[in-house]
Amino acid sequence: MKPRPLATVFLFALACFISQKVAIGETLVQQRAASARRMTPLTKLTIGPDDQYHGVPDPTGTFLFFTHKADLVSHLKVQNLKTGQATSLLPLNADSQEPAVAQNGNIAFTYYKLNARGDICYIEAQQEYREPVTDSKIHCLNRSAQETDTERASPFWKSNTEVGFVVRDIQNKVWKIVTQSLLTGQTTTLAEGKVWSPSMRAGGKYLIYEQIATESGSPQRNLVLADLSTGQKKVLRFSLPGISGFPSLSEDEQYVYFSHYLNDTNHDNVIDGSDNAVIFRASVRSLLATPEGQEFFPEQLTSVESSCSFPRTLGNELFVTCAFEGNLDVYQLPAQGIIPATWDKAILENALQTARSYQDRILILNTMKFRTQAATSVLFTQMLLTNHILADDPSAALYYLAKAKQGTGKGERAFYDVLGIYLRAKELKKAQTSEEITRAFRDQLSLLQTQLDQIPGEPEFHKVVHGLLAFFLGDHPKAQAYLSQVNDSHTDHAAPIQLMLTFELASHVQPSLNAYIHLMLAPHLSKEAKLFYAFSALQFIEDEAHTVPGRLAKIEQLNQNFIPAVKTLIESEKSVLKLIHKPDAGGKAFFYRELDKLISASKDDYFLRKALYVRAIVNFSKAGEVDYLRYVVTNWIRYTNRTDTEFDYAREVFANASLDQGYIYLGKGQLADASAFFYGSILQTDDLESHYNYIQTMIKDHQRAILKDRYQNFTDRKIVEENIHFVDALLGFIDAPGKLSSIDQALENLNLIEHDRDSPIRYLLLGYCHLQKLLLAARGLDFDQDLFLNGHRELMLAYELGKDNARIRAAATQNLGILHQRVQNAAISARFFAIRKTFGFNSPAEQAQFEWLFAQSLYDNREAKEAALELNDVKPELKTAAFQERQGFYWMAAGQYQEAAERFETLIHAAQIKGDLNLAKANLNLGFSWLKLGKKELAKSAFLRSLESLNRLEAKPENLQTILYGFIAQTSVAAERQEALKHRDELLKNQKASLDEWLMTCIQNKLQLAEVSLALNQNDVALQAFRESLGLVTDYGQQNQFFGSGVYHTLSNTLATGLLQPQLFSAEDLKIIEDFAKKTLTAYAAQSNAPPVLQYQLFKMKLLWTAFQKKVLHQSPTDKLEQPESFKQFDAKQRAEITALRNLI
Amino acid sequence: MINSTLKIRIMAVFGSAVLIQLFACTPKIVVLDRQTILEQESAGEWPEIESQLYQNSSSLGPIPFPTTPLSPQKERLYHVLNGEGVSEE
Repeated sequence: MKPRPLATVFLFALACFISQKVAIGETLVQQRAASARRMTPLTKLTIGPDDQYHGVPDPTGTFLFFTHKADLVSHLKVQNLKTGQATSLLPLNADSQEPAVAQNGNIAFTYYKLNARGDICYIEAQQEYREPVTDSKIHCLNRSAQETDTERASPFWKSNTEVGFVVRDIQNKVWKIVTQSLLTGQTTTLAEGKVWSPSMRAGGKYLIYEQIATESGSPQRNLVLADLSTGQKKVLRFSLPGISGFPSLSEDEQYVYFSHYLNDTNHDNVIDGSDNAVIFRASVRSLLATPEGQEFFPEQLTSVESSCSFPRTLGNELFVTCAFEGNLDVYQLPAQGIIPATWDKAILENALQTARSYQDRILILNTMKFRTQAATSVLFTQMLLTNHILADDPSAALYYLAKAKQGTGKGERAFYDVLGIYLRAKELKKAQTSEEITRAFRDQLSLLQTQLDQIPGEPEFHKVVHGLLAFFLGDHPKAQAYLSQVNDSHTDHAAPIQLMLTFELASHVQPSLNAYIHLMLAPHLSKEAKLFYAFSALQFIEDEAHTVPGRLAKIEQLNQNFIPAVKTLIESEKSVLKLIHKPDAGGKAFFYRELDKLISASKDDYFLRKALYVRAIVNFSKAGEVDYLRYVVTNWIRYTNRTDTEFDYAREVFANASLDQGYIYLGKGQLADASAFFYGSILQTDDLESHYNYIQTMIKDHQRAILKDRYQNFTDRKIVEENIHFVDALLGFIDAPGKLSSIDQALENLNLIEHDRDSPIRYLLLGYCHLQKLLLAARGLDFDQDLFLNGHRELMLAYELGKDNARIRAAATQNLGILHQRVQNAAISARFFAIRKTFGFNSPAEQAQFEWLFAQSLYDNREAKEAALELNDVKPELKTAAFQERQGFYWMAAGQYQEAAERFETLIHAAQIKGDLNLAKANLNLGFSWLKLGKKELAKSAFLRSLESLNRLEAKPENLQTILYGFIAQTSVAAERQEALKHRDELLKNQKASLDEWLMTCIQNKLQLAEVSLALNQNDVALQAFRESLGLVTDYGQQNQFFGSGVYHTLSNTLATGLLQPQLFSAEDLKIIEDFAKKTLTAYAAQSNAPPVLQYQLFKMKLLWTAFQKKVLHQSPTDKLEQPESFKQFDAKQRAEITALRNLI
Repeated sequence: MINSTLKIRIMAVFGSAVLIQLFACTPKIVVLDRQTILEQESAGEWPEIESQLYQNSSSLGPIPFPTTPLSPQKERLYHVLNGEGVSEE
């Protein structure tokens, strides 16, 4: 085995993570994750692209009931929490939503089958839920005669025999929360007024709900906690910005859980249920002990970034509905929230430092406030105000501004008043729905400007806020003017928030390095803030100067008297850029040593270290400096204490870097190094993507033999447990590709995975298995529907769950395109291929194969032009004869005959098409293109060449010959034409089963043969052709009816020929013709409401028949020949024909 | 002045012309704006490409692009926040 220095170094660096004892049943990765100091991630329970919400567990924790909504239709589903299998709870013949589960497991819900305003119904608990319950098992609460028009919603259980719900009488505008007994039907009102969202624990004594009630003359929205045993009601007031909703109680009634909307996240100027929500909880005892009218500070459980609502608890678990991954899904987390209960003040401060978003900071600050009982702390208020401003939440910031103002002196108050003007203006600006400055907005800001002018003091801050207001109104020159008036020296004493807003104004109207420099020098800014602006300045320089020398030149401008930390950051950026710019290894190593010294010196300064690492990683990543990227990432994790909350982030960076570097080396063909990184990634994550790539890389590197031992080692060390089933499935495929037994075995193995059940990689392989089975079993248009549906579902889940992974999405869409192409869903296939294309390709050869498939789907979807254009993306050196022929064919199908002719000419004359069959087809297509371009002689030559090629084949394709003879007839005259038509006639005799519209084609051919034979004075040939076509059409008429284009053309041509050559037909022929004519005319006349074209055909045949009767049969026709009413709708040619025929008669 | 015999002859010739036109309007092969028999039959056959195309193009696992854009979740790891609002000072 060749030495692998990179691998050795890398694996050595991992050694410090692996020396841990592992609990039984847990892998090393799981144990590491459990011990890491990090916020508890939300566990996703429901999956799929549709909205799934209102999740409620049953009392045993086995099942989850929820509402599923797709295409505006909602219905209840139940999911087994162990297996993940979900099924519809109720029949799909009616909408349903809002499940509520009783202590005995019975489920109540809102049902829309019998009443469009909703009924409250319930079903009894089942042991299993394999299929929807039947209609007979659904019981609905009765409505009295007066209640038929009321809305019913939001069911809950007061006890196992009493169901509560909201009743809304829309006409009388009365809302009530009531309970109804299942035994007696008696209804009891629990609350009245503008009330909704009730919740109780079955058997408990508290009811909680939302209400709007008038307080001090204005409507106030609050939660109300009602003690049903005493009748007392407590209005809950929380010391939080925004509004609360969707309350629920814990099973032991110790806690109230609720959603809270802190700010107007959808910018409609109203904080309501459409905004991002946060879950809070409050102790019932503490709430009840809070004096009336006083606010209570609750415990925040989730971050606003995850936008979670509808909390429901079961034991120590909390079930919520969150919207942060694109659609609504149900998640699970500990009942005390995502911040572990064991985190004390020190850990929380650490977490605050290492937070990755302002929203996370707000969560941590609120947790600190709660746990340290510092609810009224001025410091927390200040920090929350600052972070809400940084998070761009002006509505919430205004709340904390008001709090901060309390107890401040006049001087400070002016500052807050000016800040308040800015925040209100920002709030209004965010509520605008377009860039256009409306009259209303202008008026509102004008009012704020007036108010601003009335605030005494804070002259510099006035200028800044005036400038920002002018910017909001789109008046950039005015905003610039205000900025230029701001005194430079104000940075020496301005408050940090003021400096932040000054910077905001400057970055809008006059972005420059100077704005950053001012802040990097501001004495009243914290070191951390200065580092942030220095970091941002380096990003600014990167965006402005795109080359390394350009950036280095700009960085030279950062030569002011900064604090040491800022200087270090600037120096490290310079070292990184110089390293990147050096072409030789020695030069790079020199600058890395400089960087390494700076990293070592900064290891105790968290903010500096992190800023330094991030800048280095970003720069090295963009420059493709893979080795140095690895060194920095390794340093990051090496210098981070395991107990630091930063460790988990560093570990994730490290794991991501391992995987990414594996891919980079794989792309370079350095398989040994690639497998080392994938191996390292397995040690960190045990995730299926790492396993997949490790195995594939090892096999490419001819290391298949050692995989068994390697994985045995993984299993012995508890690095891999359940995921060994994935490994077995994958290896089974690779060892026996294309075999049904290996596919079935793989499916079995994959279904054994529980912990990583919802991994997109697992779904990708499952979908691939079903796709392969379908391809193996499908025959022509016939395929297994179940395989198709399973394959589609699994690949769609892979696509959905892999939304942040371009590699997974590319694979999923590729397979979906192939799957749908195989089952003739051309439009859907093309759509998937279009998405696949956006991800790019690893090689031109890979793209060429893809383009073939994509173009095929486009063509099948009748987008022939797009198919032809698509093949332009195949690289010229890969555009073999096959691709060119295919492109020419698509041009022809698209009606672009010039392009098609050119393409086929080139191919044929360069002798690039091998094989007589393909050559025949190419000449046929060329001929057809020339024909459409009006070049008859060129077309005929091509058709004849095509025929030559076909005649050289042993097994001649008859359909193709038939088409060719048709074209040769079309491009020939006289004897040549007759000859071609005769050949065609012979061929058509054998094609009844294989040719669509065989009868029509045969009749056409015979009539054309008759026409040309008459012109050649070969009356006997013509007569034979007429007789045969009459025979065909008579047989057809007797089996079907004497109606259709074949019948019409035969009759009208026969009669016209008879009129021109009365001596042609024998007496027997004339009898047949007479019989045929009578039957045809009867059939046509029987058509009711015939469109104008049929009326024209009928009238024409009548005229011809009348003439034929007179002149050929010497009869006296009795038909009156009345002109049809639709004569005016005939086109000019048709009218002329009819007129001429009438005159003839 | 045209006599009646001539009139009849003229009408006969004209009528014949119409009849000939009618007879000559035998349906021709037309290309419809959809896959016709021609299109079904005349596409070249390339078994060396098509026979393995599905197998070669379908994917067991993720496509191994050397680099991909950072997902929002991964990008978040590199967020550096404004230090204001953290310090107790």
